[in-house]
Amino acid sequence: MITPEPMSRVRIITPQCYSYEMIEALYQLKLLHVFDSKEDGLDIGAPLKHVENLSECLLLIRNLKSALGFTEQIKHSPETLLPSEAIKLKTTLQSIHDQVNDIQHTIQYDEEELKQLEHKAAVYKILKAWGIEPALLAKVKQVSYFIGTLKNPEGIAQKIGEITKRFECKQSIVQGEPFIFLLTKKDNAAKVQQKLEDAGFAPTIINSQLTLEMLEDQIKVTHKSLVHAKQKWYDLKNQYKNFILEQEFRVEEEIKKAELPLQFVTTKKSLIASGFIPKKQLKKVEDALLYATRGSVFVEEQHIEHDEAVPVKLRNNKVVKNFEVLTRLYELPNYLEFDPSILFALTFPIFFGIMLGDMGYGLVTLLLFLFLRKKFSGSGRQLCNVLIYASIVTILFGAVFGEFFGFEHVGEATGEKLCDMGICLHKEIILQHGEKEVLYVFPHLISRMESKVNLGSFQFLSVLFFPIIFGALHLNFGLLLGFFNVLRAHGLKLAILEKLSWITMEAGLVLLILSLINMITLPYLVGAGIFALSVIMIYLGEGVKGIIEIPALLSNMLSYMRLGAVGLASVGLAVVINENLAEPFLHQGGFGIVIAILIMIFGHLINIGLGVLGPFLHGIRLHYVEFFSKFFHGGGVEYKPFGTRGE
Amino acid sequence: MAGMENAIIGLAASIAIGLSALATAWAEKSIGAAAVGALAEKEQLFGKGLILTVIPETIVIFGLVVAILILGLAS
Repeated sequence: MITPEPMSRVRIITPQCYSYEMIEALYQLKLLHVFDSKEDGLDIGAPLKHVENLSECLLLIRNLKSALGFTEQIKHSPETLLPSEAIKLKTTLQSIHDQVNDIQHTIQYDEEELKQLEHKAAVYKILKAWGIEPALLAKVKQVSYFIGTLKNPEGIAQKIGEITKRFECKQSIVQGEPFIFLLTKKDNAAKVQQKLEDAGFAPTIINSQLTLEMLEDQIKVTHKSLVHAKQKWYDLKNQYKNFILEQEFRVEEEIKKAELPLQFVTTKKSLIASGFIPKKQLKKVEDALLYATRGSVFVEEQHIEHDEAVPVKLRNNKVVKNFEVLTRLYELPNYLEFDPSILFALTFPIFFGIMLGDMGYGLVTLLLFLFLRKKFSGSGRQLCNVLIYASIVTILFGAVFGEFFGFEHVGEATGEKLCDMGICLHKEIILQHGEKEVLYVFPHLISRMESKVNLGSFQFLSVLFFPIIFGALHLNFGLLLGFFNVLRAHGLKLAILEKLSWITMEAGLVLLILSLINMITLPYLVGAGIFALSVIMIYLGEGVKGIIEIPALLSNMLSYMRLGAVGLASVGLAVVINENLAEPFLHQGGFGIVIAILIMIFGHLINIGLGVLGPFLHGIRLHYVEFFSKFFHGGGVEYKPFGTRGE
Repeated sequence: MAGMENAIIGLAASIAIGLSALATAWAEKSIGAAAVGALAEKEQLFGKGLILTVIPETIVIFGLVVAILILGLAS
């Protein structure tokens, strides 16, 4: 349809004791677009009582999700969560949370323990290799020893050597870290320790009771415990994942419901909600609310203020719905405006088709978007559908222009073969470089490169001239729509001054020019008078800005020449690929044919890429800039009824 | 001297399209940069940004039209 869905502004009043029932009914209906109510002297509503439990549940769920390491979300759950179930759910979640917490602590502890044990075992192995027994070290009395890792081991022996000559030092690498064993006299111990600490020494504690075998046993035990704990963690994850995701959805939805009264106002005893409902659903909402609250509800339809931001719900049939994506790309229409989606559906494929206008290219893009539409959903799919329609129109215009991958004709040999097969093309003999050449031309109505119109003594390409006429019609249609938009929003006087004045001006201008070149017998003052009158009207309607915009109307019309020009650029490129790049190789024969085919494939791929991007951008630009500026303001608010999840 | 005349006509057409293409590129450069900046702030501005970016495209299209008209003079 051409206008958005009519809406009713409603105020719903119910006793506080029925808040939950009312909100639940509204949630199930998914029809009320709620807005923040403000009324003088009334307070904002308070969230429902069980919201605290719900928030705690959500916190637990989020904790669990991060502890069990998953981030998915589900979009649907069959059951709603009753307020009475919230406390029970909290207990269940808490117990799962405790289990997961325990497991996580065990894992963390075991991992830490394992790391230390492995380090120690590596140290013991090196000491063993050096022939040092830990048990003997405990008995050492006269000397001091240092065992540990060192950050900067370079030149440590020299540094120690500056203190004393009587020391023994062994160095190695333990688990990637430099490791040192140093033996020195007890008197020098303090100084040596100072030097070592400067070099980043961290001591490893050696327990003389402990043997390497004991350490390896301990590692085995800890490793087993760790594997066990991790398995338990996986089991918990698998066991509770679906449950947690489902509860997350349910709790989130419940919180939305419980917090809804924040958008309402309250009196001591009652709750007042305000919002918008599609006009034809009003009765349904009223009945459902009456049923839910056992008759204790009052639904009042209110007058919609003139400057109010009424939510916009577009209503279009299945085909036009796809073109809503182009409208949304710009802006939603406001409530009082026409929805331009249907206008997009009428003209956008034509614009695209005229610009690309090639049967071969149309076929390729059609197949491409038929394939791509399966890969997308939502607005991506809608866009693919739009481009599928556009591709079909492209094939039609390809037939009008008689073009197939940039070829407008085939050579003599191919043409004769086709004729033998029953497809006889029109035969044409042209002179090229002084030689006669026979060509078989595809049937066409207009040749984009050749067809010309005579304007007086001047010849002009048809594909550049006709779009200007088309543009003039399109823009005037836009002005007419603008007239009705302003009429609906601001009344007849402004509608005439702002929009009709432009059409009058064009009429005046045409009369003036026709009488000046003597095509009609009318004093030129009549045309001039109408023109002057409309300029005054524009000034009254739009002020100085309108006067400045007058020449822009002409440039807007000329701008439609792009329909032909973008096409010509595309044809030009295709012809260059076929005739200037590929054909010379084709005549060489042999390997040249392979090169020619490669050139044609890559060349046409690039041209199709440009051919989709260019016509698409120019197509929507002609709508957005030239066409929309005549009638469209936009700025509508999307209709998002309570209970639907935002995308 | 028809050859010379045609050469000059060809040159004129190429200047018409070349300079207007350069002008378009120059204009779109700054608009595009600003549009991307705006998009980073608010993604819903994509439509508006796109339109603003392709507005100078008109320049090169007029350049192409003029070039074609000039080529029409060639014998």
